[in-house]
Amino acid sequence: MNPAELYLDFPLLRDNDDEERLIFLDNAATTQKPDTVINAVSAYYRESNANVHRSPYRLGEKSTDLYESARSKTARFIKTADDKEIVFTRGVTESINLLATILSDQLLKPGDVILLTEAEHHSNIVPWQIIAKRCGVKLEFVKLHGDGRFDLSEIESNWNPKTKVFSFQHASNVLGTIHPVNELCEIARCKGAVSIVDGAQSVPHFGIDVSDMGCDFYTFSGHKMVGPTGIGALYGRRELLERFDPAFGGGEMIKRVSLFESEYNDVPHKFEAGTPNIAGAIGLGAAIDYLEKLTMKKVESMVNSLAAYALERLSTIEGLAVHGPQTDRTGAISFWMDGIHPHDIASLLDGDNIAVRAGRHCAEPIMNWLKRPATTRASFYIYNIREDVDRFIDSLNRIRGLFKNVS
Amino acid sequence: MSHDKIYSEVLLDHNRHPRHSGELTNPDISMDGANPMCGDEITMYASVEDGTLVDVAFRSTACAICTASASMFCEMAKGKDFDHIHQHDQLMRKLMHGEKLEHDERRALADMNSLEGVSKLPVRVKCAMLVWETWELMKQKLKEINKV
Ligand SMILES: Cc1ncc(COP(=O)(O)O)c(C=O)c1O
Repeated sequence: MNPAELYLDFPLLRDNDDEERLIFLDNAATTQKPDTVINAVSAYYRESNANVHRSPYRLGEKSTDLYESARSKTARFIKTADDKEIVFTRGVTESINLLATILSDQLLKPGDVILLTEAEHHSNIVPWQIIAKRCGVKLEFVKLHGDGRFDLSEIESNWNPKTKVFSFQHASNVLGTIHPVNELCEIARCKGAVSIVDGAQSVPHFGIDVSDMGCDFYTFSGHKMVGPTGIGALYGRRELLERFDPAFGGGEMIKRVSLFESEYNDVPHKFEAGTPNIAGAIGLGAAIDYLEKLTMKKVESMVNSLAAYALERLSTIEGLAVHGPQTDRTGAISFWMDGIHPHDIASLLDGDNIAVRAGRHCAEPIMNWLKRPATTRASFYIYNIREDVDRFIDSLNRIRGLFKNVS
Repeated sequence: MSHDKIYSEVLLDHNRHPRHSGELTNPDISMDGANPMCGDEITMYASVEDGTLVDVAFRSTACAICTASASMFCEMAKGKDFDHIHQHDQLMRKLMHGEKLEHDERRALADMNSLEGVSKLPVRVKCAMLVWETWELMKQKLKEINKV
């Protein structure tokens, strides 16, 4: 592991025989996987595969140990002392849908309010729309200001006393903004609402401390932090996880079952019905090991300095506007180039073996706020290097020229 | 492999100076088309008479491929009967599938030949086809309101 050349740990970036090295700048969508993660998943299937928490033989003990130690690693990674506060899910989308289902059945009453923000990813909007329709609760939205931030005093003064749930992102997948989550959780706590934090774009980028943050729920996806797809986690305060009944029934989540009634298992197992994504959890554990070996401080400073360099170079391109803040941000940079549609930019960059996202980034309300039909987004991660930024900028300048030459 | 060639001068010119861009004052019909995944949006306006597209125009908030294709469609279709447009529809689909075209088919396609490179970018084919899909919707609606 050489911090200057981390891409050498990632086979997809290292071992391709393209003429020009692939420059992967779509890390806010998903990241590439290092050998250690791929090997951990494959080693599990080769050496330890058995169902967990039910197989009365040594192999089953081995798989259960691996699965549960991935849970401990995850707990330690986001700084909760209690492993039982970690529920494995498929990721943020499943976590929020799970919470929406549980809370609509067991907490919310018709007329209650769920507070979201204009900056949310569709996964933190649509599940709430579904339950709003089903059980007569209302949705309200915190407004975005300036370069993509919330106004804390406005949130407090506009607070609807009927608000029972406040669900918001830690960082924006479009603008890269990092929001003041401690303060947002504090507002929710003072007002007596349940706080839910979408950590999809924050957990990959800097150290998270859920205990210090004071949130009720926190969730993230493994695939955006060099882990496998289909695995993520939902942190919930023990007291809350214990208070609510599960949403899904099946194996592993019960202690005793008769024909008409069941006794649920202890947390977190009561929320993990059926055979879980064992290989995924183990892969997530390996991803955490990889990032921790590097240290989250280093992850943060590497991506920060790369983003700062990219912002500086982007500012030299004529007719290019970056959306979102200049500082206190992640490595996700959305921009607009006058006269060139984001999809054309992305296709032309692809021709130079540079992968970026173009479109609405599963966050249409933000596009409306920006008054853009779409944006181009370059999002950086630990294996990107300054040379990647240089090649990206060179390509953008060439694309600018291509469109400019037609008078 | 640079994709610059796909964005030929002809294509970029239709994007920069779209033909028949705007609205018709009294169209018989208008139709919206969208690619929700990428955000391309167009609106087509048309006046029809006896199976002929007497006049046509469009507005777009879209990528260069989509806008250029719509511009080329209007240039080809204005004043022509539906059969003529249908023949070009077939040729356009052949072009997007990367199929071999005969010399006279090439001639008939005129500026649309410049969209050939798009067939090498499968995710972008739907951008080039948006105007054609919108035209299909328009024809259906024309049938419903007994205009054809
Ligand atoms: C801010 C944010 N929230 C939620 C999600 C959804 O994550 P997943 O698709 O892994 O469930 C994403 C992923 O794009 C995201 O960027």
